[in-house]
Amino acid sequence: MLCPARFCLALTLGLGFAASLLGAEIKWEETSLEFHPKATDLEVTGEFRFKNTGKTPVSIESVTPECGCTTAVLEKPTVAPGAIGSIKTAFTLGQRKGRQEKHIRVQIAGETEETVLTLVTFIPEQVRFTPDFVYWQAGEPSEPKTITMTILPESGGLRATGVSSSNSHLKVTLETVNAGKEYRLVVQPKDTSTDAMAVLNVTTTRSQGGAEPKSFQAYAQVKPPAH
Amino acid sequence: MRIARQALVIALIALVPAGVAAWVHRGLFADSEISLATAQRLRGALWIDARAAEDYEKAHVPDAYPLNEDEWSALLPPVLQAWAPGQTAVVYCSSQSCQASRAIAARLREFKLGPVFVLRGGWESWNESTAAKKK
Repeated sequence: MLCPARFCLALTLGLGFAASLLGAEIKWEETSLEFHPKATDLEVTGEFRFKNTGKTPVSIESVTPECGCTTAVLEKPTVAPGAIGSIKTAFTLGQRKGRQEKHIRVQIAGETEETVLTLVTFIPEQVRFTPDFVYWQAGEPSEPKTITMTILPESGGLRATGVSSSNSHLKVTLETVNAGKEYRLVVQPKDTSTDAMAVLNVTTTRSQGGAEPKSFQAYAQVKPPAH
Repeated sequence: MRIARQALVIALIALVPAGVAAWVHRGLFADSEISLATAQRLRGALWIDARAAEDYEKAHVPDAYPLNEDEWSALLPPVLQAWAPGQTAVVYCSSQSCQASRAIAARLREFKLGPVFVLRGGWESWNESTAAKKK
């Protein structure tokens, strides 16, 4: 006769074996989604669907996006055999640009490893500043420096309407080179004896109208003396 | 002719220390990632924390600046202000698998202020190293 401890161990192993045979099994339609948003989009949304192809209900213990910019909402925590479940997701584009890869970790009950779902988003760059940042070293002549602002085709059409500097020590003016395509920001410090930092804020409107005005930033600084 | 020969000799002599320097720093310039040990040897590096604001508030590398893409416009000016031309910047996020530090490093390189590296292992490696030193 088995002693209680051995009996419990055998029972646990037996149940585990049976469960693995009966097996809760998840089949994902896709574990990776790709998005190509427009310049005017604020977020992208998608859905990861899965089917329980096993013979027992499947429980999702946790769904964790790795970034505060991504949300993931599980439709229902337990999915019956043969039923479809889903995780709805949204990614806020914010001030990002270029290729973005975000992950969502899904822990399924009884599985040792998490399933990783991936969102790949290609955010169009709307405007390019060349350079993004101009600076003067302390004591350098306070000659004006120029930043070229190029409106990229991916923007869907923008026109610069004005520019402002966050610091009166660094003055900025906007010149139109080719309306809707290229502008120049001419920046000049009053002098280079004082450290100063400025955000140069360029406001734009859509060439076609309709959408909210959007602003883009370049930067200027008088650097402190090097130590 | 004599001047040209002398210039060639000087150039060849200059190649020796250049080669030695390149060999010594080969780990530093091999790719855009550096180990914690290498990062800590950099004198006066600018440390940048690419994690979420709440993680930065809990703990961060001493004197590191927060910079993430959620609050890029607000957090960038202090970074640019502190970044001296030619100074090396080291960016980290939570662990080796996170992508935020790579994205931030790529954007910072566009400013062409100095070399930008990503800390291999991120905050996890810093934390482990600090914990090990306390033991």
